[in-house]
Amino acid sequence: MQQDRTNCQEIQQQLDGFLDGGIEAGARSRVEAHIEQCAGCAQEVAARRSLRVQLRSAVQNVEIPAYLETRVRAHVASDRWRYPRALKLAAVAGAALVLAVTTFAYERGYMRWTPQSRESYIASVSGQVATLMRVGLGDHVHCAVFRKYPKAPPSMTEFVAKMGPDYGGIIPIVREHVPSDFRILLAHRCTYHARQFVHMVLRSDSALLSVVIARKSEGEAFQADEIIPELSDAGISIYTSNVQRFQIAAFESRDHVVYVISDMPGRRNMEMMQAMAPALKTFLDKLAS
Amino acid sequence: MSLAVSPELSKNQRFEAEAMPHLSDLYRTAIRLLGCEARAEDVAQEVYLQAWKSFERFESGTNCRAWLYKILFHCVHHHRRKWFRFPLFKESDEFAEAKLAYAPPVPEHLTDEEILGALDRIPLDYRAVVLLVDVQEFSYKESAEILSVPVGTVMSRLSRARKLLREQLGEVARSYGVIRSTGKGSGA
Repeated sequence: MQQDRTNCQEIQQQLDGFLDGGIEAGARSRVEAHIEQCAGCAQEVAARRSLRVQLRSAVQNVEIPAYLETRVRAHVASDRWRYPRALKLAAVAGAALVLAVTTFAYERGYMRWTPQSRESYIASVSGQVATLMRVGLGDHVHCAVFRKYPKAPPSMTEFVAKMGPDYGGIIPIVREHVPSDFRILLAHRCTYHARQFVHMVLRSDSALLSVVIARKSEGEAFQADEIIPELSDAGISIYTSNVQRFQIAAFESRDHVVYVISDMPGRRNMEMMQAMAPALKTFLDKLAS
Repeated sequence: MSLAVSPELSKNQRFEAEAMPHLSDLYRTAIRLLGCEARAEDVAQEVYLQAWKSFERFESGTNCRAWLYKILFHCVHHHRRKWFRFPLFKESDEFAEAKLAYAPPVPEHLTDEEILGALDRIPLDYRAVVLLVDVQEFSYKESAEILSVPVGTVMSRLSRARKLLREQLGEVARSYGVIRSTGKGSGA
């Protein structure tokens, strides 16, 4: 009896390997011979097999969202087309070079952008991103890129006053979530193409960054533009796009669209947006209610 | 006249044929690892993007499913650090060893929800091997490669994971007030 129990214990120690096909032939034969004579071990084998079948079935019965394949394919396609597009848009790269040179010349005072040439440039870059992305990009280029900033930026109190009592609270939220080497160049309310914006511009030694907020107009939604979110974090879907050196990350609250636009690498731009999105959304939701 | 397919098209076709059929299983595994459908969707999307980007390096005819799962665990590990601020494999082996002296009997008539609930309650590193070996039917060797751990670790985790799972299922049965043993006394 004692010998039987010992034998059962030994056999049961090998049951994982036996059921998974992970033991050698000799050991397998011994287990098979034992379970033919031992009802307890045979039952244990049956219980394990049954549990595995139930487990497999429970996991595989979980429904797959109908849109998942489409979403994954679209995400892969966005990368697939990136390279051919880069090649096709050699002309665009050329235009970027022209912009870089002209911006340099502009900053050195050799030339001035006219309102027409600015608009033509904004239209050329905006035309390459989805409709709702253009809203923030246009304001960023218009207001942050083509602008000369005073050498001594106004005080924080002045910025808060320019943003107004309702949106002044945006400033500390943004300040808290961007790295300390960014300084605020501008925080104001502006109008571009008859649309009102709340706009902050920040600059580090190597990057220019805008936080642009606009109220949504009737029917505006990223989904309506058939853009697929890059990621969903903390219940917020973040959409991205890029054109030339501009990286755009955006999300929408019930009443607002919010953009972080910069000339940093896309990943860093997205991280900035991820960092500030939850607090901005909470702020804007309270504002709306 | 040559009918050669362009390399880009050929890559697309291979990706569709070899990688895409595993999306459902991969997503279902991701849900169990992350406990959240939205995150599982994000991770599945990321796995396929990474797979696409390095698909040239994947050798056609080798195990694409195992390769995708390796990417999945890499992504899950990365995201859990970001989302939950703790590492994927945090439970010590002693945890399960101390807790489990025997494999409890398996109750009958379990629903899918009860089984998934029990699975989701066991520590992540144990859950991972159960998902790979018992659900996705990877071999010990494949699972070890996917998880980047030795085969012996897969085996010991699996043994403990199955006991933990049965313990959790035993809790379900106890919550009914009845436990029907499959281990003894059914007259076999």
